[in-house]
Amino acid sequence: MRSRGLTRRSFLRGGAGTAIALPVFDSLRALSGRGQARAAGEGVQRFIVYATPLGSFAEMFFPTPPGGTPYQYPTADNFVPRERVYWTGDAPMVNPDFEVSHILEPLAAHRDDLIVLEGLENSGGNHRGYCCMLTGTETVEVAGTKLGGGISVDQEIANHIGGETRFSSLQLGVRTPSKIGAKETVSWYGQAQGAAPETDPQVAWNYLFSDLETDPQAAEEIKQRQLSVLDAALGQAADLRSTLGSQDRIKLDGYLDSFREVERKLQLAPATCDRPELPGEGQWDKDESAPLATELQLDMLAMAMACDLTRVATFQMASEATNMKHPFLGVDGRWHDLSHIKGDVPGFETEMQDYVAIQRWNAEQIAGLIDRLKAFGIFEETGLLWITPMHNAQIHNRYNLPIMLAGSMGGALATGRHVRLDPNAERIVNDLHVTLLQGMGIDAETFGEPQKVSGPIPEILA
Amino acid sequence: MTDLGMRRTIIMIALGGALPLPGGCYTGLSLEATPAASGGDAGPVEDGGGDEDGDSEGPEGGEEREPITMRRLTRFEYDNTVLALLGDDSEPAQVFPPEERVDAFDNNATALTFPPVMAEQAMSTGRRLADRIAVDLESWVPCGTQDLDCGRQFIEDLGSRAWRRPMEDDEIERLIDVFAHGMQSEGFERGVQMAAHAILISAPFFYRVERGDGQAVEGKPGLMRPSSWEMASRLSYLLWGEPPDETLWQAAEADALREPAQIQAQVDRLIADPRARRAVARFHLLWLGLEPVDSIAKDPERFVDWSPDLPKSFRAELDAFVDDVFWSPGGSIEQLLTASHSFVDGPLAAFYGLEGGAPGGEQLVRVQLDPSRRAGLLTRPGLLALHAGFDQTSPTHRGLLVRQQLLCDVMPPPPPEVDDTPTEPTDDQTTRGRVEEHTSNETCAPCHSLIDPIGFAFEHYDATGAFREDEHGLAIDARGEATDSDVGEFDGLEQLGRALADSADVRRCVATQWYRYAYGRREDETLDGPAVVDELDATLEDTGGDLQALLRALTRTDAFLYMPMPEAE
Repeated sequence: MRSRGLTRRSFLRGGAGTAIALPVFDSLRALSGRGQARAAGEGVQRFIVYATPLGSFAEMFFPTPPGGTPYQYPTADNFVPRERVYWTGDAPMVNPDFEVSHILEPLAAHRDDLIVLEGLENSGGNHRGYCCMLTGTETVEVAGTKLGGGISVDQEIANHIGGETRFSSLQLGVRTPSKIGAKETVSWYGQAQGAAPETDPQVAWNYLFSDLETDPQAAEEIKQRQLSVLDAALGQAADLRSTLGSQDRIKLDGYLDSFREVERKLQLAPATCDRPELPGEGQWDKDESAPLATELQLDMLAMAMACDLTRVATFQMASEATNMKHPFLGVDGRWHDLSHIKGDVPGFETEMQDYVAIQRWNAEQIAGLIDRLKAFGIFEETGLLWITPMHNAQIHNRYNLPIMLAGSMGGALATGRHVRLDPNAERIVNDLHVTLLQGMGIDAETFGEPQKVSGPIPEILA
Repeated sequence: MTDLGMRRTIIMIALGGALPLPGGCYTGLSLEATPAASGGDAGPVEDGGGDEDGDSEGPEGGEEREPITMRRLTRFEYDNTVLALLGDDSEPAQVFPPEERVDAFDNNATALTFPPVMAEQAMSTGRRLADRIAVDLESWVPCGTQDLDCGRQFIEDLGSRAWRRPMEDDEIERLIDVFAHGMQSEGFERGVQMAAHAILISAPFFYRVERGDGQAVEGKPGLMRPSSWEMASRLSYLLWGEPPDETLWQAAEADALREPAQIQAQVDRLIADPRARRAVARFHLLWLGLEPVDSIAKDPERFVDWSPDLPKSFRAELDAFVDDVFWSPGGSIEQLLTASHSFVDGPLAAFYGLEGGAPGGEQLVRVQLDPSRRAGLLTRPGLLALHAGFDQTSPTHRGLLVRQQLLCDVMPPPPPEVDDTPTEPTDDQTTRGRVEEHTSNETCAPCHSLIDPIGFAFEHYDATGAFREDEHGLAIDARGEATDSDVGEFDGLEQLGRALADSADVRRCVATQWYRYAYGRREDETLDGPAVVDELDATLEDTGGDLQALLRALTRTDAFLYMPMPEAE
């Protein structure tokens, strides 16, 4: 097995919330020349979702259209309650010369790799839309709990390409609850089958990297031991099967198939991988630890991709039901409360700026993730989707979602453009998912609830 | 954009195809379920059919389905099992994929599949548990010499406990091979770890396998007895939700769990143990859907007395009330639906406005509530608030609770093209007025006429569960009717509770829900199901709805005491 050419040193971490934190980007830049080695073959494509809750601030998310003036924060005197949906213009547009908006400013260095996509409606409304933005369905209710109504696009992609890697997909989160629900979960294996993200970086590390010793022989021994354990379990089950009635056999076949898949996947693991350091323990449910947690999680996400442990990953910042605050940005209000800015509240100007600061901070995290992927030489084969379930902070509606893509997904996407779809076409996010599936080389004409699909979006395809 | 024909293809979850829908509910709409719409073929019902298609081959299809006897541990049972087996209380199964619910229950054997992600999680969880065993080697392996014989002893000890039966020689040999592999590469401790890991991902650990004794029972054509080992697990998982304890183990070893009298002696012992309360609480948690009570949220602007801490108190009250009614001598369906005593902590006492102030803090205190306002389970704020919206009540959701959980009717979800967003509350109309206006059209009325008139009886309780005389000055009309049932008409929740307590339909439904929970299958999955429910219902009728009598009766049915003989092949 080939080494990825990165040293563990670049991910040095201290314990318990005290990051030594070599500035990640600096250390990666130094290594970027060596990051070109590819373990995976040609034609590999990867897909990443970065999900944020509670909408965005559309006026400051979408680029200022040609000839327009950049949006300024309103004052109490000219504050207009936002009852309508903001559009940068009333006709379809593809603008390759766009300038990054205020919120996307941290991504300026990657401008040519971005697609800002304007004009898609969420598939579900209000806060419940969180579950639906990737499924293209409404929620279903099971035992009093609202859940995702179908498979999400990341899992659909994983169903097609996940069989080739150790892990079909990876879900990581920061400040995300363990509960599965419409407001908590974005990734769904299928209807009502949520894929909860791991929020503890140490647990995530163990899951991803604990078997990948730097000594190839030691790693091989670990693998052989796991296979031996599996072999015994599979042998036991096969013997048991021969004594069962037909219905029980069908039951047990599910068990056998699933563990055979584990066995097959185990053999796909690279023998070695320059894994990041084991993260220390931390109080990851505390707001103060969110920046470090995010850095660790995105380090691991990028490294898991670079080691080709997986090709599909979904990262959740908090969740729609979050009570997260951002003390590290000097922001006092809760994210959710800030998202309900009303112009008649004293101090709303500050709240609005605080809310936008949170968006910008997330843009910074995404920029850092892109830096990592570029350093590893795998960015070009990656498509990264930043999505949030609502249009605007002030009105919780589902229209004109602020959507950004980064990376060409192996040449499938046409980047470096602001695309505005026809505001009158009432297109739904399902169309984006169909486009992404097709971009991944998957033969898909529809996704989610079929009546919500009008077809792929050629404006973003290369 | 909303094409009706296309929308219909969305899966109707939890809709039993062969179940007769009451009244004219959903007439004019086809109910075909199209699994393709779920988008993935790795769905939870692939191997054997769950609630979507499971009933199509039910008794009414004229074809008897061989009952599934092998039950996979639920996450609840898995956690209890590793606690009993290894002393591990970390609830490791919470990372497993959630069970598919059939009706309200998570333990339907047909729906309990083993998807790939479950195997992946089981693999890593089993490994972590095995690591702990290896670290704590001395308490697991007391033998003096750490050799192969000692490894064999460990495998037999852990394996037989994990599989809830003695192991056979070839089964032991297979695990000794694994042990030897580990011992050779990294020593004794590694051998133990690997053998433990293999045991903890094995099929006989995850499944309650039953083969029976193979001998026809006299007077019970087609039936045989489970072995004593299998009966030990039936008893312990039903009544405790965990594997057999030492006493059951010894009884199984002596093959003394075969005669009804032997079994009943164990039932008496198990029911007298506090662990039975946990299992009974589990039933109620699932049946009544209490889990989401903890995360109820209400509009703090509209409800100034609301506090985010209240849901915890609501939940504690419901748990304590149900537990008290069930375990009090003679505890009955009637008491569940009409009793006005309860258990309150400080915040809840203040919520009820109890005189004499609040008892201190989180301690639950038994109190008597106003029987004209707080009679029975349905009048408790936990259920009232759960089945209500963020800023207004929901007669529909409250009515559904009664329809589905207490009358065992299956109601379809609203047609997908319907916008079910509640209308904004206004001050010039009651909630009832708004709901009636919006559901009187021909699309909504067939089903809503079965649901909402029950929910209107709840209208004296606002979305937080607080009592209200009127709705912002408008008179409340809490009269209602449960059509298609023997419940009849009522005015207000106290009368509804009484009517439900007197209803034979409700009584049979309680028997049905317990059947589903106890046997891990719907009553229509096997031919004998309805007769067994009859038997359980008869016990309730004879005992005045005695709930403990029902629990005991569940251990005396043919469904519990016997199992079908395998078909000749």
